[in-house]
Amino acid sequence: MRALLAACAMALGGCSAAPFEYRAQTDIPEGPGMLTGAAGAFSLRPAESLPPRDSDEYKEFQEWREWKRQQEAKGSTP
Amino acid sequence: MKKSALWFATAAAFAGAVQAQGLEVKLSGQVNRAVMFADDGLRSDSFHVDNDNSSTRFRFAGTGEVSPGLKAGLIFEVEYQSSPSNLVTFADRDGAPPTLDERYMDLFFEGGFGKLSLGQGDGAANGGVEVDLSGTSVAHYADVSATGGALAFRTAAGGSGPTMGSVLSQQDFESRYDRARYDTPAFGGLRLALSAGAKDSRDVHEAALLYAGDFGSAGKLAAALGWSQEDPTVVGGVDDETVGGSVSWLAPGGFNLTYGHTQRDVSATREGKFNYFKAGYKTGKHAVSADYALGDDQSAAGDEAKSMSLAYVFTPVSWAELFALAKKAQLDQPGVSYEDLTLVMIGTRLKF
Repeated sequence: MRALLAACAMALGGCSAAPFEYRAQTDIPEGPGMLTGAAGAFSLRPAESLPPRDSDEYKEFQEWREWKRQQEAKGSTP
Repeated sequence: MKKSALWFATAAAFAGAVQAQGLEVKLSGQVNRAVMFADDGLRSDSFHVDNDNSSTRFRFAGTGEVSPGLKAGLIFEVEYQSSPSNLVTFADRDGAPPTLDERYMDLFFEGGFGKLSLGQGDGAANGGVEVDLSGTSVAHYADVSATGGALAFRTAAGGSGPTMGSVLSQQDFESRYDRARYDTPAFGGLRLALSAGAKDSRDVHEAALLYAGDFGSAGKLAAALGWSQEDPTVVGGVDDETVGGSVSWLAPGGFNLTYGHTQRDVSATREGKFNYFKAGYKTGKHAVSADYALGDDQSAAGDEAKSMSLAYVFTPVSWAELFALAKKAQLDQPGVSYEDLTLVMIGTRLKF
């Protein structure tokens, strides 16, 4: 039995399949979150590592913040 | 200091410490709630539960580069369950008051040598019987007793028998505990994991072979083989030893098959066995599956327990899943006749 298992393991390790990262579906899902948006997580990041102001990431953040401001303004209108 | 306050203080300290070192820490989590209906043949009732297939929880996780080719990271994850679906009973429909329970408090270093982990986390073989590519694990998977596990089988005369959890455990090795763990680099999708630590004041050792490979037009295959050994509870007792594994195949069209098996030395004369079969289909935002589980000799010699269930999971957006489960569990015990347990659960998991 052990020899069979070892043979199966060697066969799997030696075959030409492309490795992929298995994640249990019972873990917290990867990808976007309801509150965290596309990032999927709140980021706690040192100030010096913030993206530069001319980066796409920073522009995207500014656009999102503007959109959020507009949404809140709409929501507060009687 | 209250336990919850202590957790938050420790988490904040972690976050501060890693920021000082230039690591990026991310906070994420999920809420997973459901309504469960149960019928034990004598009594039926509804429950508002936290779905223990994937409990309500949050985590801090971070990684950073220590030096070129060497990465360090941490994961700090706790769960907070109100009325867990595996603990509620007809006598206690709320379960115990919710507490913040540790899941991971783990540090790791990763490089060309593999990955070295230290702290509270997965033993090498944890999840070894639960490999599953069906897309319906949030509703049902090898941990059959995660839904209704504390409900007892009843005799027609009103007697109480064993709980579902005691006769239909998936015997998934040693779960999480304080340990040191080493994972080799992957060789063609195959890697070896080893761990040693302590659980409930007993020494634990585990080993596992883990595989995940994409065969293109032949689909994806994930598998695990595991072994665990825990010192006996009494001097001169029997080691708690478990061997087993699982394999799951997902065809490109969405059809999938899963099988899991474990056997555990429950006592000097008895070996508890568990077998799990699942067939499913997933396409786009929809996934359906049927499973069948068998537990033999887990609670007492001659016990034969079965569980059959159907599940459907709808994922309208990536952060929301709606699920429905219907399950029937049976227990055959020499000389005793038990009523069937019937369960229905409908709920949703939202990632925040």
